[in-house]
Amino acid sequence: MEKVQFETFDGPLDLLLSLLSKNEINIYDIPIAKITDQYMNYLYQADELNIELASEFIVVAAQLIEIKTRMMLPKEEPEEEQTDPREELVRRLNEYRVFKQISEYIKRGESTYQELVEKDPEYFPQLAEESSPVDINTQMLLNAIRSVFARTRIKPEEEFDYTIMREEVSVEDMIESISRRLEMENTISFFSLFEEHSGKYYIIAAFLAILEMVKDGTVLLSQETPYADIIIERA
Amino acid sequence: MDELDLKYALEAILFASGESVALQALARAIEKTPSETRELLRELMEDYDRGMRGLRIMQMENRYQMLTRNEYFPYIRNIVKATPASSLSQAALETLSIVAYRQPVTRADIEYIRGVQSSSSLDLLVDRGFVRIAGKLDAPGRPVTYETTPEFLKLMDITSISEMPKFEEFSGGIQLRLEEQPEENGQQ
Repeated sequence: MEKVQFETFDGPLDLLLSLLSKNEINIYDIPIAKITDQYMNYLYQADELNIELASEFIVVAAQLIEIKTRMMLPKEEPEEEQTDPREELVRRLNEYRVFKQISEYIKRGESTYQELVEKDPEYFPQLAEESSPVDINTQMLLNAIRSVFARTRIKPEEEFDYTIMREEVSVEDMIESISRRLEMENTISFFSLFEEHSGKYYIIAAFLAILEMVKDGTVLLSQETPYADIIIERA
Repeated sequence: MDELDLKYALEAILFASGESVALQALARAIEKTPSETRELLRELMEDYDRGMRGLRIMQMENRYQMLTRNEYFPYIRNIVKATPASSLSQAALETLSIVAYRQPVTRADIEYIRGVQSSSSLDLLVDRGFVRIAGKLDAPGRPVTYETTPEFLKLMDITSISEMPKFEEFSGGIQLRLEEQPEENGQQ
């Protein structure tokens, strides 16, 4: 048996245009019987090969048969008033043919487009988190604690070992101590809580203590500018 | 900053942004009016086009983007294993052609012209960013209409949809004897 190269089409109009061009037929004078036969032949072929065609192919087949039938009917009216049964089909084929040409044009543009390289937008995490004055992010906290370490001449990078030490000063003790100072002074500077020899754990305890006190609502914190000293006052 | 600096400020913004940036956003960034900004961008684009730089700046309507010049793609491919983006199927290309010249257009209109169901092609074109929903038609069922996007302009390497050839240029030679053949040229 001869091997058949089965051509696929993008739709019934695509198939019709192909049949017309194979037969070198003028689109305005379609020999409808001949084309209908060839069209139907394609559908039978697809059926034999178990190729499922879109239902639209059948719709157009029906239209072709209808046109063929109408053309076989005797013409009763004068020639002028007679509309060609093929007219609608011709109009659609013409329009589709133009869009196929436009497709070719767009396809040519596509080959250039595929060779354009663009880069991903830069990602700026620090900008994404850019804060309003009330927002405090981890970076600001880190900067604040770094400035405290800087004041006390502790270099966290050098001194930090990963052993967990027993707290030298508990957070509770620190809260107690800050509360006592606030009974005598209206405001306390955060930096004043430490001295040059204050240990890292002491600083961390103080830091946690004021956070705890803010949470409890016993103190208010204010800061002129980021990284500046934090003023602690009674709420 | 004088004018020269601002032109290069735009260059820096476009590099950092990667994707296309609206003229209004660029104008706001350099604290100039949109028309002043457009002029600076025009100068910048000319700088890039003069002497076939590796990069170029493309304008799609009022959006601007920095991209590599396609002529240098073979060299890029020598160093990065870059494969070109997948090509559009014939069905998708036909659908895109219809959207380009009939926009805003409904799916039903596209399907009538193509004579075949086109929803998967349309979905693909929307996913690829060449087509978007334009709105809803004031007709029974309020069907959605589709239009082309700035990405489509990039695909065609044009600044505006009005730069597409006229519909008649494609039908050229073919005598369209039916009076209601569209005269539109794809203008939005």
